[in-house]
Amino acid sequence: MATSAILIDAPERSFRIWFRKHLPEVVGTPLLVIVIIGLWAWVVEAFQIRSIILPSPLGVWNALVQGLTPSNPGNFYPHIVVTLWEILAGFALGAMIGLLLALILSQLPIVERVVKPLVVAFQSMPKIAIAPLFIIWFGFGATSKIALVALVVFFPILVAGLTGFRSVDQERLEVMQSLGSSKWRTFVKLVLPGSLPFLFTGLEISLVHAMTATIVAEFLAGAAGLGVLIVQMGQVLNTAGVFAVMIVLGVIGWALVQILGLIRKRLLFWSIDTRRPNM
Amino acid sequence: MTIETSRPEAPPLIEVRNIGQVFRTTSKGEVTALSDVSLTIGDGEFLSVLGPSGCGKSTLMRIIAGLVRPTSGEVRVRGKKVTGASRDFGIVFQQPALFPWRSVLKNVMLSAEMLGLPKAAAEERARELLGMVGLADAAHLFPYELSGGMQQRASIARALLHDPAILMMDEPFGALDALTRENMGLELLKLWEMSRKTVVFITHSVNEALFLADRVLVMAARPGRVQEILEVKISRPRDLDAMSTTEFGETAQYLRHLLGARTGD
Repeated sequence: MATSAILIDAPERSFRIWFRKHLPEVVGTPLLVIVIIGLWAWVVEAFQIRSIILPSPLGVWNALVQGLTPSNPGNFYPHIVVTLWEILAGFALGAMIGLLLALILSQLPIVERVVKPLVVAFQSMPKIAIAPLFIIWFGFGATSKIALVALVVFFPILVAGLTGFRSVDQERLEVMQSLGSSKWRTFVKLVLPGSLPFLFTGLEISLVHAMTATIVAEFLAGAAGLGVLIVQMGQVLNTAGVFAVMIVLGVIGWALVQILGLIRKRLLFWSIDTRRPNM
Repeated sequence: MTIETSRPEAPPLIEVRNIGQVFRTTSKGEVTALSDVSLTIGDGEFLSVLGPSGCGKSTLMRIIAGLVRPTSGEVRVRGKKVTGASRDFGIVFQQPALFPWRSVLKNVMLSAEMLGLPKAAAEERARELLGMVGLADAAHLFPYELSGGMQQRASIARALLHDPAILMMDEPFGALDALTRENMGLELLKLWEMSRKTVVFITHSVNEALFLADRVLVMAARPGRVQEILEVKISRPRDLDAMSTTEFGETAQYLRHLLGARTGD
């Protein structure tokens, strides 16, 4: 594409242009982080705040390093694996069911009209409230969390799918019709790719929901997971540990959003939303 | 001056017989979009369909191409009744309607994929057609990298890929600026003279209809019906100067009168 062609022509110059254009983010943001950490360290020092209320940045750093040292018996890795699995499995399950139901409903307009008000009503309900019920039904393990995540992901994807499938341009449909296309091929070649911008918006919203739902369900009950770890550390007033786990969660969340964003850029290079600068 | 007509001795390629189309709407009840439309279109003929908006010309095109079933009447192509979409037609719509996630080349090759034509031959033909519409260097680009005129050229190439006998064009240049529009008209004529396909060209521009066509079908609205079929006796090949001749001006004026004060063309 056009941008990569420029990069090949003059890599250094284009880097400098890129750097100048992104100066606020590339230089300013890290600077702000340093200022915040400095301020934090100063506040803790100046007001003699006890470490169980607010640990110093160094204390948090030490807790983080300990948690990420594999040889340390109390390391975070088993919990990271459990939480990641719950997020991803629930996300995939919820997205698949949502997409499938959207596909079925889009073929049955009358059923769609019957079901739609119910979906909208359920969508505005805080679904995390169902977490205790799921723990009764599916137990303390990963299943109850995966079920909750799937539920939370399901609704935005269903709505995005229904909207996306209906947004197909009439003349493009007629192009397919004029070539004698079957319903299924029209779906695969036109409707599905055309609704990807909607679906990705749904996926991006769902991903944040999925992470929140996992942690909340882990707070309630569970043997492993970063949410469980936060509760355990909170109970023994290991505040620095709580901060360290929150940082890990933040990084996981950031990474997942970035990965989804990259996939979106790859698949949706043609979409106006993706090509908008600074996105 | 040579006078070209629509070769009456040739058997008609398309016969439109007593087409009627009634739409049921929730607000206005039954609306008659087309009433008793009959005409024949010769093989290799360039027919313009001219009429005010709401006269059912797009509906007529869709019925001829088999995209819409008429309420009454029938369409025959080479004597065979049209019952659905068919390979005989290539369609160019008002909007380019390209698929934005496909490159220009892949867009042009869409019909080959859908009709199961051999891929290598289809690609060769696609490149040839892109050359003909002046997009040889744009094959690898994506629609969003093209101007509106270039997109419409690509959609013309797409419509021609499976070598249909009939090219249906529904106000294809309506969304383009005036200059681009005139150029596209010229290029379409060149393309038509090379390929000698039958073209049905829908427009609400008197000048465009007249400049391009062998015959102009003038339609009236409410209900949509044939008002007159006019033979255009302007010599071919035509260039933009043809529009400045008195003959062209008089015919255009006549057509405008036919259409009445309703059109602001």
